[in-house]
Amino acid sequence: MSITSSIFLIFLFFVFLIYFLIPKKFQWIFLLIASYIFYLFSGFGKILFLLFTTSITFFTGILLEKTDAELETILNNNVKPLSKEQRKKFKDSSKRKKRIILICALLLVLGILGVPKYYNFFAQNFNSLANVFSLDVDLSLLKYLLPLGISFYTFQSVGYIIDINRGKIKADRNFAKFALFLSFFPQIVQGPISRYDQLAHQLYEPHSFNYERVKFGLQLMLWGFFKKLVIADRLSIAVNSIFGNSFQYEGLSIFIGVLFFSFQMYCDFSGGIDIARGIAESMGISLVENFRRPFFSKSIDEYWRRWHISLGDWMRDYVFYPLALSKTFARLGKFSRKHLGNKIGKIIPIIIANLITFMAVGVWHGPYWKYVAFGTYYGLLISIGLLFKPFFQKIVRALKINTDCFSWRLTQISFVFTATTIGRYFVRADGLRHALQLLRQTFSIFNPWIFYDGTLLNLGLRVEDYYLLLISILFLILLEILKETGINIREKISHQNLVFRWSVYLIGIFAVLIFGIYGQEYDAVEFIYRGF
Amino acid sequence: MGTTKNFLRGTFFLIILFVIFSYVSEVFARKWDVQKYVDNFYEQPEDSIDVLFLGASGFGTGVSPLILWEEAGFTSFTRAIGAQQASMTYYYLLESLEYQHPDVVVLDAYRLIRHNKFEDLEVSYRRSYEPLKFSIIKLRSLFDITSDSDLDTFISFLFPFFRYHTRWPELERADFEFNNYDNDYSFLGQFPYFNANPVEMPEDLMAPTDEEVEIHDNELYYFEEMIRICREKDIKVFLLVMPRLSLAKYSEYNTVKKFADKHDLLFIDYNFPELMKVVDFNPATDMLDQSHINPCGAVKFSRHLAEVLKNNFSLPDKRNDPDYFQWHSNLEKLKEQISQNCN
Repeated sequence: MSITSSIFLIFLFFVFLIYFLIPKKFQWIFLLIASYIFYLFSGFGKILFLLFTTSITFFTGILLEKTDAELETILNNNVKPLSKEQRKKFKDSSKRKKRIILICALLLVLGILGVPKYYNFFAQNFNSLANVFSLDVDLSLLKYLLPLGISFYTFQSVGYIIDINRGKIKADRNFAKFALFLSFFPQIVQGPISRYDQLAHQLYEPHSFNYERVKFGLQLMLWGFFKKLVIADRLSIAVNSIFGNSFQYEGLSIFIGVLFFSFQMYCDFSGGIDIARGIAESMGISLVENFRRPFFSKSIDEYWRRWHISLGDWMRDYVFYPLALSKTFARLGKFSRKHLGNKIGKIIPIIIANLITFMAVGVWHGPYWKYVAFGTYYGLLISIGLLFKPFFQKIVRALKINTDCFSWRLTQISFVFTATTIGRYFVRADGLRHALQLLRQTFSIFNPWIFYDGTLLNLGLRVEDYYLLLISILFLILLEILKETGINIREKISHQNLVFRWSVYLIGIFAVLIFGIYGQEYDAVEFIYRGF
Repeated sequence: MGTTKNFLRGTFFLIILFVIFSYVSEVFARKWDVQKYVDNFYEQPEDSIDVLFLGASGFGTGVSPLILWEEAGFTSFTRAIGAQQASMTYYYLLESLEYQHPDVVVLDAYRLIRHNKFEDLEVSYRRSYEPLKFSIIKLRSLFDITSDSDLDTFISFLFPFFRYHTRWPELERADFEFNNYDNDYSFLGQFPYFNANPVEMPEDLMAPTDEEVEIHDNELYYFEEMIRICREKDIKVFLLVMPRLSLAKYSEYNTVKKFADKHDLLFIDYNFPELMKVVDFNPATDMLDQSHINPCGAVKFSRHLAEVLKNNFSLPDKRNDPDYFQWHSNLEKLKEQISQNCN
């Protein structure tokens, strides 16, 4: 059930209605039921995957906490105080036990994600390799559909387990409540990837109907629908037309396709997240922000702190830091400082941790070499930035470039935008080879005549669609600029007079209804991130 | 702010939303040319129609209620919509019986042996469904015709705006004035398309055969239901096929004849060359396109049809009834156009 489908809107209407009508103590139970009904639409079998991950994560949490409690009991409740050695021995044994539990749980939880998501990728590459060495091995491929939102709820699970292991949070003792944390329907499809300490208590708390909050939530949903249905799905028509027959296009046509795809992807993903956050907000639940105007980033590093924030944060906390702060990396740092000098040597472990983290980001998106290349591309860009930062700073100083002005910031933003647009070649292409081919085609010819020879009108969009897109994207950029300057648009609107407020709402609603791409003629395009 | 105030505010907002939505829906609605025929039916006084023709374009182009009136004096109306499927004809019958109690219902037998899937004929369904006034029968037809479709299709029939919202670049002044069709239409369901496209008479037209065609369960069900309902209301049923020339097949005639015999119904198929000769049909001047006759041809067939109906059913002659004075002036209008366009 897509969250832009009519059946979902009907489902949502009844969820809102029942949620605020039933006694508050049952609200979380109802949310759990609603979430599982929503999930059921993706197929009964898929629920087993979700239940498996939920069970493993839930019991792992309890087991880890129990191990800690046992150690505490031994250390504190002994009539006869333990010697230092004995205390160390118990602590080591408990640590070992926790590590075994942790590793087993992570293997199971990540395995249930990894097998369906990555097995075919592994098997295909293994078979190709076996073929090169003329080995008579042929791993058969599996045929199935990936369970809905598995990448998102698995990462929530892993975060939960690691946080308990670190003693950051307490294990949930109520299985049903915990099941709700993993399955909360607005966010299970495409995130954001929430943390237990941020989300869980909100789901379990009772929430009264709050007119202002519901109004704000609905406004956010409306904005999400606008981005998704009016901009993203309209752009997708031209994007699919170009990439579906990419061999027919070259030069700027391909670049326009990728540029459109950049906006499509942003509006698609952030639109979906706004819908999810709007639904949650209406029910009094605040989901984390997943986008903070990424196109205004002045560095690649900053871009990844603004784009898919919850994934970036997750990777930082559970991949980058554990790697960068590990003993192995400390040894690596010592080694590199010794051989490459203090300045560069200090950066080397960070660069390697970054590369690994971004490759993980890439692989998280899907089991294809193009995503490995995508992750490596960003890892390399950030590494180059880190390595050459002093050099760039020297050039800036030598050329006496004023870095405290609009034009410099615009240059930086343009650079990041171009770099991320190139990164999208890997995302949109059918494979790594196709991505490289598209890059080649882009730079093969400079053909600005496509803007007036009718090429753009053969992509499935009418002139009126281009006008509409232009106005919509300018409007989007204007709102993003206002938000960037710290203006809360919903707050601003709420302080206006009723006629103005209602006019804004009605224009928004009818803009989506009239200009949205939906209905029989067009199927709303599946959310891009739903596939990850 | 109080809960009641918020509730009232929300309700008022929804009312405004609904009002604007209704207006926008009207603007975006497809303005069907058949709307004038449907409206013309609603304009008829209750219980004023003696013979009701129900079917597809063959009836709309071929049957002239005003010529029937001129020839035999009974009143009739042609409720015909291009490519109308038997299911919609069924609901047109039900809806018609809410307004009229005719003595005879003439069904387009060509639709008995034609079955099209919903997906292939969405336009035909919409053309039949959308112009109707809102009623329980219309709702029933909606549930029926979308029973095998998805929720989006159902919603788009219930609120056609969701089907036509993509029309925004092509909206015209007429869309905003809700009035882009002929308000003076008064030909009682007959299509007033006077073009003439010469057509050659197929050499093997209605070449005899013992073969039959299959009647789809769907069509069989609706035709039998229509017959049952008419009999319940003491209405006579008559099966008719208007000239289709190259589309006409003897095997189809065999099938309909068998069906008509089974149900003891009068059946006439005007595709037989002998009948065409009797009515003085000329394919060079009387055809609108390859399979539809034009009003010039309709005059000839309707004159013959008036005789058939008069001879087989007991129908009143209302030509001297002052309540039907308007029929004479409407007939004059039609005849004026005929004299201008037909030889």
